[in-house]
Amino acid sequence: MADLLVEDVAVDLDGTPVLRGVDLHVPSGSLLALLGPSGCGKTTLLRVIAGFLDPHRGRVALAGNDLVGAAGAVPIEKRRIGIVPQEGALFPHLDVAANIGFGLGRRSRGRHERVAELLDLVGMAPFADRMPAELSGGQQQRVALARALAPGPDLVLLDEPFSALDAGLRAELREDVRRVLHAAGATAVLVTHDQAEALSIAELVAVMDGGRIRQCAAPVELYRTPVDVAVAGFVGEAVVLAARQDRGTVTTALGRHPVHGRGPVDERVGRGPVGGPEGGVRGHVVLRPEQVHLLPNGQGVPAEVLTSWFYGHDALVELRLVGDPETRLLARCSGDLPAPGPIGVRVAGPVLFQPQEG
Amino acid sequence: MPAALAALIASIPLAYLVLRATANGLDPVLQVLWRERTARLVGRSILFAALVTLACLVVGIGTAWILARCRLRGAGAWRVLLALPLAVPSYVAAFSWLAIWPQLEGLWAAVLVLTLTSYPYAYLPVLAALRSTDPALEEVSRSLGRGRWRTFATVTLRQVSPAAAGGGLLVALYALSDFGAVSILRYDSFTRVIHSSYRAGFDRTQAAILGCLLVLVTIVIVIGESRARGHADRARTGSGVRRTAAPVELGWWMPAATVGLGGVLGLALGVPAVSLTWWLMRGGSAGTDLPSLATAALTTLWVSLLGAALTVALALPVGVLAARSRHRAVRVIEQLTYAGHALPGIVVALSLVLVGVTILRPLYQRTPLLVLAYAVLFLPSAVAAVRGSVVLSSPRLEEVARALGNSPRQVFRRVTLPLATPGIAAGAVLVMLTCMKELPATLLLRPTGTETLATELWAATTVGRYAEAAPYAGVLVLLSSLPAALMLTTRGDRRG
Amino acid sequence: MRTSRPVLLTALAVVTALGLGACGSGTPPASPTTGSTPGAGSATGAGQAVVLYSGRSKDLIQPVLDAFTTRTGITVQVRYAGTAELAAQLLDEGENSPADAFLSQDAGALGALAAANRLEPLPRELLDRVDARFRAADGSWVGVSGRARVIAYDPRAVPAGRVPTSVFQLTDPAWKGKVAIAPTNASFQSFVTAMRVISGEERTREWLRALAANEPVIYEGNGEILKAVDAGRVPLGLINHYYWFELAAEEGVEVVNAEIGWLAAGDPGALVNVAGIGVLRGADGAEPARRLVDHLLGAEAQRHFAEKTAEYPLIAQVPPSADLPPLAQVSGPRVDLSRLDDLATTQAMLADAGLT
Repeated sequence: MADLLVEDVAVDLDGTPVLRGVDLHVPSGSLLALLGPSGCGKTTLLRVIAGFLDPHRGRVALAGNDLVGAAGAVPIEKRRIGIVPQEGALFPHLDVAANIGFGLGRRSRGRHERVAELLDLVGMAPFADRMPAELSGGQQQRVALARALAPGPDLVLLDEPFSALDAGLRAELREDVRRVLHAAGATAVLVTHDQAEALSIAELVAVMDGGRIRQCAAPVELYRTPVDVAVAGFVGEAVVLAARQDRGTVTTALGRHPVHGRGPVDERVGRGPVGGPEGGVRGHVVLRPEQVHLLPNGQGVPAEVLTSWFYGHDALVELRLVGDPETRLLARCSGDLPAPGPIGVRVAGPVLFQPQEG
Repeated sequence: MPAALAALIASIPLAYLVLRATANGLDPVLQVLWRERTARLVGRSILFAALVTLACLVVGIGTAWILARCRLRGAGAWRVLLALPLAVPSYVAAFSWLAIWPQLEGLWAAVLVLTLTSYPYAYLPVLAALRSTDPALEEVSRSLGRGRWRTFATVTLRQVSPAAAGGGLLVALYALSDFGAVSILRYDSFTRVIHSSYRAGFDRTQAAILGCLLVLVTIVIVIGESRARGHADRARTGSGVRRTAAPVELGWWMPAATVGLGGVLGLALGVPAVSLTWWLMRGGSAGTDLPSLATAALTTLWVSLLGAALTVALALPVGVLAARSRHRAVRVIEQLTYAGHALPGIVVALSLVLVGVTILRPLYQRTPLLVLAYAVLFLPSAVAAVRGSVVLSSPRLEEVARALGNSPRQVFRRVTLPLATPGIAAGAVLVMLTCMKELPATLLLRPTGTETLATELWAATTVGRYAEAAPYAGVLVLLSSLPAALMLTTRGDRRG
Repeated sequence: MRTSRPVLLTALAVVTALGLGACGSGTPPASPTTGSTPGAGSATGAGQAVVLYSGRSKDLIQPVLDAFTTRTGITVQVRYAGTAELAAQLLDEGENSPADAFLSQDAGALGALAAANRLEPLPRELLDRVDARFRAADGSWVGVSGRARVIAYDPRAVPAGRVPTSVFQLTDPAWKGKVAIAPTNASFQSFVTAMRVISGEERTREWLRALAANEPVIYEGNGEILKAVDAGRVPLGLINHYYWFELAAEEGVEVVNAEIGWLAAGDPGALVNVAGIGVLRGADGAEPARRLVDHLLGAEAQRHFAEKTAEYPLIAQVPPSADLPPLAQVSGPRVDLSRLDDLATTQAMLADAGLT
């Protein structure tokens, strides 16, 4: 297994820039989730890494060897990269075992054992001689994964492999995929537009938008300290409030909050009591619903409950500030759902501040 | 560059035509083109080709849909039987109809007879397409509240439209080039004049000039079809895995469907069968020469098998390229291959005579050159079949196979080819059936002394010995049922 | 797509393999091989072969050829196809033609080949057996059997006494829409060409226009015309005489309804055309080919034409079938049949008149 390096990769399709200089590093043996809205270029990046598409500039290297770079491109079949496409794309004319063995030499030694091993790994041993048309969606994906892993690739690329599955199956298969990839010690890149999937499965999450990587970090770091409002909004629910930063604290309609101790915001505005322009900087803060605590009516900042969504393990509550009816808040709460009507709120923990552009 | 090789071979008749047409300078060219009669003939031929194409599409798609999607007793037998009229030479069909209905003549008669012998051009590819497209789209459409007929019109037809367009194109070109039906049923068309230029004038120049004009018409039609086909990529994105459709229960429509299929079959096969039997019963020339019948049958099988093999082999690179690439050069190559199909067989045969005596002297009037002529004539059938079936398989599968360490060559062999096999097999059968009845090129290029069923049939009918002709025609149709049955019954899921 | 080149290579391999397979496996069983003939002019002819292109169909000529082989030991490899197609093929083959001799259904095709200098003049001895009217003036070909143009009529529609005896009567308004012709057929065009030679261009042009104005019923060939007349769909039709005998042989003489009307001697419509043979210039098998010509002009072959195909034999020793009036009586216009290869002008006239 090997690390993947992507440097300044740019792609134009029909004259439209799709990738505008992408840099990415996936350490050996780790799983990176490429997260972004549809059309952000994540599948294109995957196709560049796989070799289905040649970039206009940039470099892709696997285990220190250039796949694409100044010296030209390595042919697809020589890259040692496994692919798990959307909906599996199993070969409909081959049975499960033949699909898994497709990438192994026809008469290679140990082919049979390797296929059996992978059938076990993905839990498909009883279905070895089924045809793809006779499998469920989840089973097809397992076979597709086993097929990609069979030749022992340096890197596995998964293109929204769970998108066509229902929620229960998705969670189960997600966990299985993580387990199998770890068992195989594979370096992997998973493309997804589902943030929960990205955060739960990957060691690293890269958020893509507009043909660029906006942020690449471990899931917790990404969630806690997104680089900007857009990333924050894409990774989990976010509450955005107008704010003013002055001397290390941020003031919003909900009061004064400490700011996060790191991130690019701090470098621009300055940290601590000194520095920063006179009168503070206008901007926005981003906080997570779980930072918004509900209090009995009369305590904290007065607000009003508008709607709530019950999820079982917790619930999301939409609120409006009494003093500023234009501002909407989301709060996560466990236990009883608050009744619609007046309530108090308070913000806990540091917030992310982003100064206004210009 | 085998695609280029295929294009080169396909353009032999064009080179010949240009050479012959300009042999006496440009004056005769302009003289022929300027005649008012020439313009009228072009118009008549196009009208004829359009009507035949339309009729073939209706019959071909209708029968294919019933047999692919409905629960019907004896569907397997129906599938085979409905492909057989392709083996009936158009002149035999025309004679048969005249025997039963002597007043038959003109445009509509010719359209009827040619439709009945060439609708399998549309039926076979559409059947193959229907059997390898995902019924999911149709189900979605039904679930969105569209009725069965609207679903058929808006979803199913769109799904099979590349196959149908390819088939329709073949019908149109075949109708342009056919001589048998139009001459016997007396519809004055372009090919009739080309033939009479040879027949009565030994005038190869005029024939070549008219041939060039026919090629121009062909180009317009081919480009039109390619526009109509558009850029629509009908591969299902994502998975190559599909389910088989649950058959439609016809209920009390079953008798209607059966009568419809039976009607088509009765007109296309029954009428010739009745006429042949009638001739056999009362004709004075009855009494079959069994050894020559057997020899002719074997020869026919052998040369048309070779013809189909070479044609499909040449069509593979062209069809795959055409399905996967939108490059202009590819389009030109593909369209070049259609030239042979629209030209009367005599023109193609003479062009190969010239190539044979000048370049391929050792092969002249030997089987390989005859087989090459079949390839030139029928390349489009195979190209359309290959393209139609490759388009249906998802490029995603090929990418996965590449990533699994296969070179493009291996991918073609291990994925593209097996997936496209049903469609390609349909194409091969189409070509083989057409080779079996081919006459003009066979007459000029077969090894001297060798007879096929078609040449024996011709020899008997030119002197009016229909009773003697009948067994040859019967064996021709029987033999045709072999490849058709083989192709249409040994399908379904192959395991392992 | 970047996949194309190797795909192409695969396919090339397939094509090559198949191509070689096709070459290697050669011809099917039971087909005689084509090839050059040993040039020995041995008297028995055993081992010699003639490659014959025959525009005359197998039924009409094969027994005569078989008799030739039996008598001389020379095998005849025959390529049967339409006369015009074979003429075009021979013209395209040029000097590379594998053919030794060309047996043509009509004189025009032989004339076209002679004009292209593709025929080797025949020995005087062979030519002299046939009346000068039925062979090329330059000796490049010779007729082997003759046929007359006649009018087929439906006796239920036209009493025998009213059947026209000259083609010039066919433009009479009485026959409007009642005459079947095959203007695209070589036999009709040959007769019109003959009319041009005899009656002049202008008279012919007028006749064609008048005929067109008389709304003739157009057919593709003589056989179809005869069937139409026989079925009572058209009262009159211009055909070659032997089509009637073919129909009678196929259907039985008693059920054939149509009858033959002979045109007056000298009428351009009564043209007697021939099937003829020529030996190709530079042919390997020229010598055995000339022996084949000799055979076709022999009494045995000529009797076959007279009795089996109901044609006119062309040598003096053999009389025509008793069913036919003597050749002298029906003999039409005196024309050099070689000149009937100029069908291009005739075609233009037919087109002008609106008949093709």
